[in-house]
Amino acid sequence: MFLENLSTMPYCYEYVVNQISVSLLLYAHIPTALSALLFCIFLFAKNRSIASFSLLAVSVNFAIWCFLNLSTWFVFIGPENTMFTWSLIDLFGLFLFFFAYRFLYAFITGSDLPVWQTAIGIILIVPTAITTFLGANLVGFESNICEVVESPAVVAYSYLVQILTILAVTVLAIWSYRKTSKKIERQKIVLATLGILLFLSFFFLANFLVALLVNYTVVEYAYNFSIYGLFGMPILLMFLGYLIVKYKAFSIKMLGAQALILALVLIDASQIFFSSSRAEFVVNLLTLFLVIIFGYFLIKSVKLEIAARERNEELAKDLARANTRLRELDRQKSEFVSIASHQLRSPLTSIRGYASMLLDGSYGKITKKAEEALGRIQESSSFMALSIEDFLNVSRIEQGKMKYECAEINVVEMASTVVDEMRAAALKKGLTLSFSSECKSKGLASVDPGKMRQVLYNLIDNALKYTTEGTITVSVKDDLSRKSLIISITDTGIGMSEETMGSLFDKFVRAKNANNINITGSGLGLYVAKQLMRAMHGEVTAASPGEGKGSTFTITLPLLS
Amino acid sequence: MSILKYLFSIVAVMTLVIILYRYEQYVVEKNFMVFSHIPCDTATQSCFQVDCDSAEDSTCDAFAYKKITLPAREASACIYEHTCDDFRCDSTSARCSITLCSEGVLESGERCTAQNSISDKENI
Repeated sequence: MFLENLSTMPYCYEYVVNQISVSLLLYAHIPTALSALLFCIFLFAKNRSIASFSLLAVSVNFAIWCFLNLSTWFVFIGPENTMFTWSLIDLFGLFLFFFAYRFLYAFITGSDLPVWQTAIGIILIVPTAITTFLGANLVGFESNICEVVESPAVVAYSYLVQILTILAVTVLAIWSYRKTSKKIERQKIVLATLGILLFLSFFFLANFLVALLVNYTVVEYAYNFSIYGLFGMPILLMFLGYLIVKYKAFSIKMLGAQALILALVLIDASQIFFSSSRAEFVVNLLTLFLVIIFGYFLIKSVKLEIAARERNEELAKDLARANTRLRELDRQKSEFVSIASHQLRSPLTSIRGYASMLLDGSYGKITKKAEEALGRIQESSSFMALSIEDFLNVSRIEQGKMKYECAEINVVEMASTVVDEMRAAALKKGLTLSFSSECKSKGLASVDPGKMRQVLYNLIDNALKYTTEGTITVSVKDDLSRKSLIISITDTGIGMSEETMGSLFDKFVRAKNANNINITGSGLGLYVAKQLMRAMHGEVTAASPGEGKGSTFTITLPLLS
Repeated sequence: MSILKYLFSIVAVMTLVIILYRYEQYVVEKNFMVFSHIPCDTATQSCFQVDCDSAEDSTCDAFAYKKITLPAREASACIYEHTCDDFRCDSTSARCSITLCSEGVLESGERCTAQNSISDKENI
């Protein structure tokens, strides 16, 4: 109704309203141009770079183009207005293409267009500018169809420059993509280029196809289709929004929720402009108000959540760095222990050897007192040699240098032999060491014989060390259904608490009550046993009813059929 | 000031000049041509008509017209509404012309009302 009042040409008013919905025209042009402008102003306010400035120039040119294009439809206001606005359309269309290319260049490279490229762009625009200035781009006003008659040559030239710009954008994108090897940079190039190419292609194709349809009079009212070219802009904005949210493009920290709320506000606000009744206007206004209020709280809560997540991510990174540092320190320590142990072992062998020779009488008869002293030297050096062996084993295990030569071994026989060998030591302490087997199978397992023997020796020796009276029983049985071999070493020794059992197999850990009986343990024996068994696909566990109530150590191995 | 800024400043100024000049030419001076159709008397003149059959096509317009080209500043409202009866170009206007139908000026989708039309291009 408002537009009808503005009309000075009833014939053209009727002609236009019969051709296209005025509401659709307004809706296609105004919200699109406004949202692009607002988005780019926001971007430029947040980040004053060449890229954001070029994007602002794109949006300003787009808004001017939308205004010019819209006014060409409102020919009924007066043909002189239409002639004026129509005459500028091609020029601003080319500006739009030029700034779109400049934006992509600045976005990818971070710098402004080189002078030579700018000069080429301006030179390409000059012919259109001259024909516009001279009025040679328009032939006149055709009042029968209420349209302006354009010069075909000028229009064709404009399309040619638009095609060249689209090609230039493609070449720039391919060149930049190949130049960088960073995955994220490549993804950003692809997204920005796709957005720009879709925007320019929509814009170009809609106008070009319309011109073809008009020329060949294929479709009546072909100009109606030109409005679809405007929808390239929302697509570009979506791509830019994604770049900002996902890659923090333009150094803007924008959340998906913010982008969503912004889009909703723009859509709601644009609907207010086109309310056809007072009730619709009030409903749209209320919806906009609610979207803004709830959007504000949603963004606030999402921001808090994201801040907490980022803090956690930072802490996790710190933790990972500390962990790496600790691993490095641990590796260096193992290396140090290995070097130190090797250095200690050689002189110790000499000490033990000479002590043994002195005791044997190789250097003549020695006194009883000297013999006792030499006995203590040999005993202590033997313990020291065992400790050094443990240190070396730990070092080898941690550095992954422990070598295993597994073979098919009768573990039952091996356990029986070890028990026989240690029985004398048990008797010396007044203990009973017994062996029993309930195996239905041969008791074969794939293990490294030396390492297996070491583990058995270690566990039985432990039982002897921490048992003052009673018996030590070594029993072997098999579980054919689970295909496993189970060796249990049960003693009537000092036992242990539940707390001790939790960390018993850790490095340098000894039972709290162990020092009461034996003060020389290094706390590495069980750790080494556990690691060796694990490497041979078995495991060692410990159980005890409590302190002073004895313990049971169990080795479980996969049984060979 | 860098070369690029000079270039963009020149382009901005030139664009402003173009806009102002075109506004002055089209809106203030109305310096452009108008093409229109005005009623034509089929009894005395060879008129244009849309080439269609009203019996087959309900939208077929039997309006007989002659073509007029004139400067916008000389165009009255009836030119835009296609209602000027017996319009004649101002004798002082060199750019006003009325074209009657003839084989030479027929465009696609048009026909002449009289077969033996005079090849007229009145310039009254």
